[in-house]
Amino acid sequence: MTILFINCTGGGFADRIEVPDGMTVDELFQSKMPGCQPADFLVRVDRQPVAANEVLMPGCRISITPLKIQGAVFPTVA
Amino acid sequence: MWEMTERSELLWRQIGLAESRGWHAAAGLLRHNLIAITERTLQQTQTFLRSLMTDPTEGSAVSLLDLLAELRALQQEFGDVHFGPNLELFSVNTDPIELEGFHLGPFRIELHLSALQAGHVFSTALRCIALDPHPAGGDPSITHPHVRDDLPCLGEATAPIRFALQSGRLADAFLAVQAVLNTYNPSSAYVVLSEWEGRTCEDCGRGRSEEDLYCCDACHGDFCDSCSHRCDACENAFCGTCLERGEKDQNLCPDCRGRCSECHDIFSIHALDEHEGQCPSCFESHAEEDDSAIEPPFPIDPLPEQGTPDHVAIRHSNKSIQVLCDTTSLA
Repeated sequence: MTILFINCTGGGFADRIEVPDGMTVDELFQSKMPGCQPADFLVRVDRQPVAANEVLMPGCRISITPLKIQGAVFPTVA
Repeated sequence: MWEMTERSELLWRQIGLAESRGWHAAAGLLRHNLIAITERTLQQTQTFLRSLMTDPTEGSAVSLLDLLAELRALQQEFGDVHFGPNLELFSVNTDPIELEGFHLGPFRIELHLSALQAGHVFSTALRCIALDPHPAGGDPSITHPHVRDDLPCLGEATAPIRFALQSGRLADAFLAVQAVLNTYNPSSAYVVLSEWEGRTCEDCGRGRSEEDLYCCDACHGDFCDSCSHRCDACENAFCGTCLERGEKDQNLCPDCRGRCSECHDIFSIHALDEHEGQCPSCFESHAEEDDSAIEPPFPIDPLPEQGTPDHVAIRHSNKSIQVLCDTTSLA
């Protein structure tokens, strides 16, 4: 099935990705964010906070936002 | 990104060194760090590549339903969402921010849509206003290690926020700004927290603790170690503005320097006092000029033979006039 995956670390791009049916939020997190702790992120499905064992549904929108991001002195020109 | 590459190279060398010495546990730990850094570098490289391939002016139209859903998500995350006049401004309030024990108070994160529409750099459209400010000592414009004049320096959040705003994901953008406010990066802070209570150097503007500032004895301003210098004569601390270079490249304070009355160059007061207000070289050259300029007031008779002075004679030298006379005739 296809879902919309928004990774707000690094580039912050939104991508449509293929995931196996029945995949949970935690399984997706582990596959997309290796070495990261879920407690350091806000994971939302369809803009709602969810439990780790929530099963992803076709077409859903999952966003992973870090709770801490390093700022800098000099603003980056975008 | 480039810093990470350097760090990777350093780790790679350290792994080689650890393995050559049989420190396998240390090598394992270093390898684990190298993998994490490489993954992060890879991610940032992909971001960089994608941002190069993306038109920065490109934005996607956001439906009203999506916008409402975003506002609802914002409300869930932050509580109330505030709107400015003509809907040109969205703002939310954060919980009180505390970094390493320093209470910085809550912030209001504002998104100025008018600035976005005007085509300004998007980071200027975001403002972080301290609601209960605890600014860095000496600089009220710094209310957070990464906020100056209400403008957050987004650092690693720049790309995520930019793409979130481009695609109308308001909640993601605000959450990323909040994540910046909740993070302390001492290597790139306007004022590091260890010096938060201190004051700023009046020359370079860097924040410093009270103990690390020197008071200029002349203007009484506070200056950091780098901007403070010693007078080579009295050895007291002064700022660069109050010191001037004098003879032999000496730094001289206002009390220890003066100007030569002849050449007007700067010299130490001590040197001028020794030479009647002139510098040593002017004094010497002046003295030489005096020597050659003085003419005897009248012709000097040759000295009479010793023991038989029969008339008055005057001997003239550079410094004095000696009068010789026939004491017998005076008597």
